[in-house]
Amino acid sequence: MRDAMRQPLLARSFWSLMIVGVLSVVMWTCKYPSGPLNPNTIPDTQLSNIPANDTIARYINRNAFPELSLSWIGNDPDGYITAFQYRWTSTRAGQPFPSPGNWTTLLNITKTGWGNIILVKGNPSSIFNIYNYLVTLGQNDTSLIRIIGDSLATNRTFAVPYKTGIVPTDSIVGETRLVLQTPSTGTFIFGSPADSNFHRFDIRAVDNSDDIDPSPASVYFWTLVSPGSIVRIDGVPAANALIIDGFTDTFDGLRFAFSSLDANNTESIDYSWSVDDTVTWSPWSRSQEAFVTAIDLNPRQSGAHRFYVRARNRWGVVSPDSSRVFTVTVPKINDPTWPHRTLIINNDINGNGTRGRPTLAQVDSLYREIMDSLGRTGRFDIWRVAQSVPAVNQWPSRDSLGYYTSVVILMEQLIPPIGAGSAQRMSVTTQGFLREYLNIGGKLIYSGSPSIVTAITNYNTFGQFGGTWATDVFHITPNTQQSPFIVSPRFFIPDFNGAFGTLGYPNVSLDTSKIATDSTFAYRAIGDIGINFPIGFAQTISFYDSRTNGILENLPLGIRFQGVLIPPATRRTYSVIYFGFPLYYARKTDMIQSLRKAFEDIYE
Amino acid sequence: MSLTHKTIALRLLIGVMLSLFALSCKQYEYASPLPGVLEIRLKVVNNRQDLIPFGPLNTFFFSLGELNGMQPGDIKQPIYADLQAIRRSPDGDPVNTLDSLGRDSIFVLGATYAPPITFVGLEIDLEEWGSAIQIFRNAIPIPNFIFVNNPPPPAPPPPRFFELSAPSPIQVNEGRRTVVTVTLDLDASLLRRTEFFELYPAFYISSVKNY
Repeated sequence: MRDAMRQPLLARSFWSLMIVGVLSVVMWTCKYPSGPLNPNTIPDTQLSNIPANDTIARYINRNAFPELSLSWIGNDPDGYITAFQYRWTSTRAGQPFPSPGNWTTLLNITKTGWGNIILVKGNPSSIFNIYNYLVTLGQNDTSLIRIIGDSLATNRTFAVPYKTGIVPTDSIVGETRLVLQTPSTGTFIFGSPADSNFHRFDIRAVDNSDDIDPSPASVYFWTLVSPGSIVRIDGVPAANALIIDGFTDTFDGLRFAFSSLDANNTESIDYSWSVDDTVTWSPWSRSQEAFVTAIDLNPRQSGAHRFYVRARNRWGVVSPDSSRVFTVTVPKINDPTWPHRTLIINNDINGNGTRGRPTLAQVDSLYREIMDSLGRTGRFDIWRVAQSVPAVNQWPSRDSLGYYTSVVILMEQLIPPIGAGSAQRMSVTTQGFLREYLNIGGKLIYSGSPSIVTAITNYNTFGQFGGTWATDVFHITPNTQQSPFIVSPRFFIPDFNGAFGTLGYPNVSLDTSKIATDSTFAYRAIGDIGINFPIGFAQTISFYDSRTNGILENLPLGIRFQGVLIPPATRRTYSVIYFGFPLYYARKTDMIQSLRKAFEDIYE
Repeated sequence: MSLTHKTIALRLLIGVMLSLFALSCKQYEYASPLPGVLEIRLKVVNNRQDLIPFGPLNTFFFSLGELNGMQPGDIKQPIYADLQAIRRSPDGDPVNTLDSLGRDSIFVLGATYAPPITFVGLEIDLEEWGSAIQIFRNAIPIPNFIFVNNPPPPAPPPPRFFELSAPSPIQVNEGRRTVVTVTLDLDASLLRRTEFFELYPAFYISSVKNY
């Protein structure tokens, strides 16, 4: 009985001893190691597409492109690669080999939605921290990702707020993928200005312990001079174009257009231009247009000048200068201190002196009297378009217009569309001069015209100037857009009886000593008067006074369009007063008041 | 149980229930005041009536997408077209700033019942609509993008969200009407260029009145 009890007890003791023994062995062997840690293994870097042995032969070929695509890989046996660093070193043949340049650090990260490769600027002390912060941005960090994306898109530096706090010296910047396609692939463009150039590219990896490969991978080779571009000037302004010191709303400068003949660089050409010298160039720009003002001229005066342009291709090679001589007219009114003067352009038809058909001398005389009454004695000149008998029509040149701060055009009789007298229609060429004059800040008062559609060629036709004379200059609705276009009767006793003024303009009555209003021939002077609805900023200054109180009564007739002065422009844009009828036939007092108000409204 | 006992029990039950009702219908421990009315009006300042006059045939439209009263803590109180409205048009409600109602400061942008609290400002989503001022049959363009070669540089699209702070607290009182007048300064908003206007919308709260 006792033996029977002792046997299990022995067995239990045996197993207890075994357990204690095993536990003792385990505890002994699982003791925390107290020796030194294994050191970090240094990363290794290799170029994965080292140019072939014929690199030299390949790159010394004439016209070889000075760009090279390279790929590289990094390996870290006990971690991972957080970044790469690369540098270029170049020199010309015969020059001493320069000291290697600074390393550029690019993070080994690409994330969806980030359009650029991320470079770390400066000499960051903790690449891993930056890498770790950026690579662990989660779905909930969309706003931060967007900020980083914006930063990269605009190439702004961005202080990295990684989790240990912002380190002001650490920043990142986006590098366009045109250069670095991925963190391990890049297409590099290198300067190759000399006949023979030496280049060396070094790349090294950085691991997650911020340890750097001490033996970078390298490649070196020679290149010949890079091929350049030839720039061609495609468009120049018209000869003797008017030019002023600065831009305004209506003067964009004189336009030059140019392009590059470089088949290898069709999309990444920059241009720079200059006028009259090759010292001061404009900033490089992709624009293939230049807009020149008088400020760019040296000397700043009328005459011949030379426009220069050059191109720079994506390899940084600057083309030889191309140039073109052009001529300009710098008007006297470009000088803000130039005194105000008015040119009255008398384009009336030389009549026989009877009522409704005044002679040019009569017209000149009356307007002289009016201008003297306005206190403008000695500050105006009169230009007769019909210069001699038989009439030779001669409008003032650009240069002549540029002497005057304002122009009054008189076209106060019916001008036939064809035949004798038709040459006095305002031609498209003349309109071009006048538009140029207005665009540089000239001012216009227009008296007339019976049948203005005939008097001004292409009055309602959209042509080479973009808009019509009616819309662009007078700022009135073209008759093609009026439904119906309203004009006063023409081929019988005229209906026009004067105008009701507004906005400070007087009521105007006709002077029966100058026009026989009940004559069937009076239509030559006051017939076919159009109704003018203003557009844009134009305003009605008078309304039609109908002899019969017909349908034209009180419809808009005269128009005022006033220019503006938008700094930094130094000149106000043009202003126009269009009376809508021939002022000559109005009573003298009405003429004086109307013209006084008109000069006031055009800031004269 | 006799009938008498039943009646007594029933009466007791009713009494207990009534007592419970009476106790449970006790007045709340917090105040629940009546709302007031918050009304927003538009006033238009325009000293260039020779160019852009007020009038029934003249239009300069904005689209009012949202109008909110702002409480402290960025809490918004939507304000619709009138007290009966439950939302605004998805395309925005048209606001003609050349309506003579605007000149007379009686153009109602919106009204709502509001708790009797203090608002600190308004938030408005107003977008220029139509790219032109129409004066009878004449249109003055207001391009969104301006392409010019010369300075100043092309104007960006005008802003459309405005947070207007009130010059004095907008206090809504129980059962009373509070009228806030928002002023659009057209003189400052429209920069005249040679052929068009540039738009720089200038809104501000010009008055708060309690009636």
